Amino acid sequence: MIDAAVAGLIAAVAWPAVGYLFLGIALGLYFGAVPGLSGLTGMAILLPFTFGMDPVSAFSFLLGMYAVTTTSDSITAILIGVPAGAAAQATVLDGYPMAKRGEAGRAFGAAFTCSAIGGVLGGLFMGLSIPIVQPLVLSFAKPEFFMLGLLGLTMVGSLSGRSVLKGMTVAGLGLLLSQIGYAEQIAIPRYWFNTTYLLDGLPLIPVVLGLFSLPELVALAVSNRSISDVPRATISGGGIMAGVKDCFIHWWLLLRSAVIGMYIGILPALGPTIADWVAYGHAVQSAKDKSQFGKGDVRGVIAPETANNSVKGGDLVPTVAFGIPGSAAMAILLGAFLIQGLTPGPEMLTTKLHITFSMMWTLIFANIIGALLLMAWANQLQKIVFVPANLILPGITFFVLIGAWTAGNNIGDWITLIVFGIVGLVMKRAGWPRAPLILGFILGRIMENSLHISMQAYGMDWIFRPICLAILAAIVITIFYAVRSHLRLKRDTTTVEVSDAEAGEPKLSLGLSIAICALLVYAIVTAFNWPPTVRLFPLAFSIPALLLAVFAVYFDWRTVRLAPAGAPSAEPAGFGGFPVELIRTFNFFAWMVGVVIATVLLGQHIVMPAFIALYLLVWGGYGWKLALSYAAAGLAVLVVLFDYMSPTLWYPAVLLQWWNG
Amino acid sequence: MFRRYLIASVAALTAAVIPGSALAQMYKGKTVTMIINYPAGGPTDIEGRIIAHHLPAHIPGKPTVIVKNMGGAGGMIGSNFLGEIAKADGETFGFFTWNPIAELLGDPGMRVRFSAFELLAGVENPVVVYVRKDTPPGLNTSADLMKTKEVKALSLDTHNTNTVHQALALDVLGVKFKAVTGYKGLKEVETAILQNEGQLANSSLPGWRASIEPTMAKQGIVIPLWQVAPPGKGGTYPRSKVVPEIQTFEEYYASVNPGKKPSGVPYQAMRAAIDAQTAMFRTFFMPPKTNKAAVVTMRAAIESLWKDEAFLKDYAKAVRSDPVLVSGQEGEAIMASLASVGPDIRTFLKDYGNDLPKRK
Repeated sequence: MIDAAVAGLIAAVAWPAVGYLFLGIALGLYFGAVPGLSGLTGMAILLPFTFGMDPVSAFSFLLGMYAVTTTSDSITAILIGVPAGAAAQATVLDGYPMAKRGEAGRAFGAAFTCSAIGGVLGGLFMGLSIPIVQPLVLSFAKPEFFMLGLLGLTMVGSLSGRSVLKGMTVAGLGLLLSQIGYAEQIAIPRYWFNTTYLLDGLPLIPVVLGLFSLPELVALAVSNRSISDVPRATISGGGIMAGVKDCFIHWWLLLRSAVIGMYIGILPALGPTIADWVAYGHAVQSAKDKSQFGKGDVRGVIAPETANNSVKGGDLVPTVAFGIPGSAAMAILLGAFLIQGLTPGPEMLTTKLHITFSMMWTLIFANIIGALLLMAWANQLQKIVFVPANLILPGITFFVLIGAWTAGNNIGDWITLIVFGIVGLVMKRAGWPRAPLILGFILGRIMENSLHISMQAYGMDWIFRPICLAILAAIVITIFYAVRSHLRLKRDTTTVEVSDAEAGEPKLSLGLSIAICALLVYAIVTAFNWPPTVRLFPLAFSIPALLLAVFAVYFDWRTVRLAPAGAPSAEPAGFGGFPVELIRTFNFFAWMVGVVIATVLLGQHIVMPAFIALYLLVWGGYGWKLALSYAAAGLAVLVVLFDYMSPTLWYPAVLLQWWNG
Repeated sequence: MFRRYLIASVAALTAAVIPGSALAQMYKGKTVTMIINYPAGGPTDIEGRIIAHHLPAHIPGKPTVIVKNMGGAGGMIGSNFLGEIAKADGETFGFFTWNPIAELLGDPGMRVRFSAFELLAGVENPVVVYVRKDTPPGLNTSADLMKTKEVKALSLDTHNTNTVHQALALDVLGVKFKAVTGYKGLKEVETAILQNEGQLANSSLPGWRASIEPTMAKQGIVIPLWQVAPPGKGGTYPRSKVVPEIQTFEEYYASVNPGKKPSGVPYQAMRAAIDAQTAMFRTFFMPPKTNKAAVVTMRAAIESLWKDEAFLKDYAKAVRSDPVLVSGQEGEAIMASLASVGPDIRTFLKDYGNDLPKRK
């Protein structure tokens, strides 16, 4: 084995493999940093270029790229609150608030360092564990997946802060949203409103961007301040090295998060999207002082960023050892195996073991080099948070729109983005937690599919499988501790509330809880028209969620009734007067709707640069020169990055088609 | 039939009338988009990307060919896009794994029928049904399947060809089985077989050759039972030349029921469900009403690609078997054969799919 490890090392650093490794890292940093692209996109685009390469070069190229995308995707998550990829969703929760208080450098230092360490640990885990993990991988079948989903849902408590009732209701709403589209059992579409777009369910990225990013964009547009709430001159400390130091101070959390990532990685089909949430939830659950989570706690950056890099080593284990892809990107890597004439499985652990080890070295080197390169740029990158909002907002909006578009190249993705932008804004203002919605949304389909297959394959006996019982015990323990901790939090009036759930506007919260009730009633009534197997899962959670929502209505109604007449509503500080803010918010969404309509008529190549120019001129009050150069840069990005480097299908503009006959 | 001759005539006429340089002008400097109706990384995608890599050299004007995955809804998101949104200007085509049962029975999500597309070509592929050797009481040969008390047969959703033909074949044989449906892809089915969540499943030939055979069959975990071969001449089903070592379903039936041939409505329904699929597993489509010159050019390009040694080598390396091309005209005939399936068989198939989850 040591011989093979050395042979793998020599192969990984030999020419031309090492050249492809560096090229892969450079491309990976790019694919990770640009919203809308990701390791998955990069893998699909780069795969054909490996046709003529030798196996070690091909895997150095692909894995070098893939290893670092979850390092660079934290850049936009921290700087502008936009997760560049699904794996950076949880990083936004604390990374962006850190940037807002002028600590972007510290957040970068922590994110890049723990990404590198997580990636290296994941690589080592991959190389050392492949020969011995077979029983673990093979023992996690559908029943265990369902129980893991349930365990994941218990994190709702940690992601809900003081409003656990609302958190659980919102998780129910997330589960309901996951039910849109074809049922898992019979080809009966659910909640699809005769819209083909909804047949395959709502896409994750536009939903996440809408819920988390658009409300921040609205806040920036309305206030026209820089992202950082504090002026640049007043920043002391909080630099990159402070973030590096944070990783070593919280080494135990880092290590635990790395293990969570590796563990999720080796489970088939679970990837970085889930690992970052689970690690974040664990960080909150296990913290003694939870008061700063959601407000810029560095531990909220360390946990997801470690896990979303270590998960990749774990991902490779079932892929290489059994030909079972650990995630969607690994499914593409399996294609590379086939193109190279290699067969995952015993061959990779015997005659081709040196190639397996070369993958381990590639992961290790790529994670270290990628993080060092980003560290070198971090000082320049963090300056963005001090730029006036109206100057950077068109650029951010541009990438949010592109990020949502590349989810499915469908105008429906933009409509989803805007709808969830409005939902996210209302939830934020009403003080409802948003993270549980994403958790329910991600876990819903996995849980339903797993439950459905478990029932068919094992009847009710699946519950008594040993690992299921062990996970059940973990669920009970987690709930016990969550309840205990919640009761303590309630008693401790000095503790500040946890998560992004702020004290919201009571009337808005009441309206939202009534709307959720109505939605759940509609969902339940509609579900009764479906065959039993199709309606089982939606009803199983919609009915309890409705009960919770009714309680939420009652508590909100009581709050509204008890509020003294004429008392001002609680508003996040720093915004202008409410009517002005409301009008500007409405205007911002009107711009977004305008972009969608104009795109249908004229296509993205005209509308998106035009949006940049018009926003700067009309909203920002800047001059023609700046507006035109900015718009030209936007067009260049569309053409160079999205037409040539990662070819994208744009909307076929109606007017242009008509014009061209 | 008339449509077939019409297209053939137009093809011949176009080739004669449009000079090569004019065809070259049509695609010179253009970007042709290949829509794949399954996600990146799956077998359809891998084959599609190999084709996209080699195809430009065979299209006059050597355009750039880019790949766009539009997976979801059992391939229908991609096919609906090609049928409804993509321009019929010859610059977009689909490389699909199609679902003949959806075409046969209709589907609430199918907005454009496969028969409405311009069919360029197809790729023939037999299907291999396999079983775990440790299925009680244990299998030494494929015939031992008949001794099993109950087999869990894993597959995709209930109305998918993959599920229906497998269940019907087991019913025709009289094997007691429990259908476990709802897996999202054949890779997931493979994983579940490896985990012993179920014992019997089927896969396309690339899946068998590139994955199941080396990782499970050679390790002694599974054995092949039969291949569902594409239809031959005169209503026969000879072994596919790309997998000559595995017996056909008809051979298997005869071996366990000496002197008999499979027959009856379930067998006819099974064949109606799978024949068009195996005869043309992957399909190349252009949007409805694409101009004829583009259809003819692309058909010729695909036929030329199949003579390209470098392409065949790359394809065989990844898929571990030689690709068998179905020409556009042959494909039209296969598509037309679906229309001849009688209403009784269609009703039987619909009810069968609906009843499958309810069976104890």
